[in-house]
Amino acid sequence: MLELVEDARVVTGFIVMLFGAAGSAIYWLDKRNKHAAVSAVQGTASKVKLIEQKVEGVDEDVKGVALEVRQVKRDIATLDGRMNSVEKSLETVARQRDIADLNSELKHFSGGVTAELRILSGMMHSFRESALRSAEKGNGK
Amino acid sequence: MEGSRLMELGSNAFTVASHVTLITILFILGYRVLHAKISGLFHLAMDRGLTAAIAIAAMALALERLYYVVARFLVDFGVNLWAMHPAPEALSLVVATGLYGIMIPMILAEASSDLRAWSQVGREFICLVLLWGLIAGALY
Repeated sequence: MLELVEDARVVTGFIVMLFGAAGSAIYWLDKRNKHAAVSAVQGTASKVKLIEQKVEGVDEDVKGVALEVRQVKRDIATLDGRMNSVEKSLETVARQRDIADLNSELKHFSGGVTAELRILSGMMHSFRESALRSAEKGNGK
Repeated sequence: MEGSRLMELGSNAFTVASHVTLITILFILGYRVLHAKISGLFHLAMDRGLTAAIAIAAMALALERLYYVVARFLVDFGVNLWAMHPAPEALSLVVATGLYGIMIPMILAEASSDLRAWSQVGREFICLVLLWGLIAGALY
């Protein structure tokens, strides 16, 4: 064993061989790892494509939903416009207070009319009595 | 040459040349790593095998250190691994190759084509060998 170590050529050859072998092994391992990584990436790429297709389908669905939502928005806008016009027309309709005022006025008016009617009926009564009296006087003549 | 007259180191001249070349490579590596970080080349270099290159360089350093650990144990058995030329030089070469190897993915990432990158690697390799030869020749 020691005789081998004593030979400089053997030692030198051993060193160079060891370096060559270990270097090639490291290089080969690195290449293999890279290849494995690349194939793994390719494997996941097909899955990614599948997911991509699904996402595209969902995207189209979402587009359809977006169209519907736009339609609903438009409907809401027209409804809003209508509501506005209804509100405006409601503003012109008489309010409770106006009606109450009108009611009290009406009451006042009807009270006035009753009083006038009473006066009128009194007057009518006195007219009728005076007419009757004058008829009696005439008959008496 | 003046160097050859001043220092006649014998076979140690190769060891010194190896170490100086290694130091040069380390300086270039340091500069390249900083430059790669500034220009954001690391990700590209990673794709070209930077991680493997770093692992190989670490392994080469581990191999060199292991050699000297073994040398400490074998010195009692009358085996001097330090003086067993060209084994220390081969170790230096292994470490230098490992450290230079880290730069290859960076050069590959930076160059416009692989051919240009490899020609640059070739040119740098020739320059380093010339540097080694110059120092070894001067000190031998």
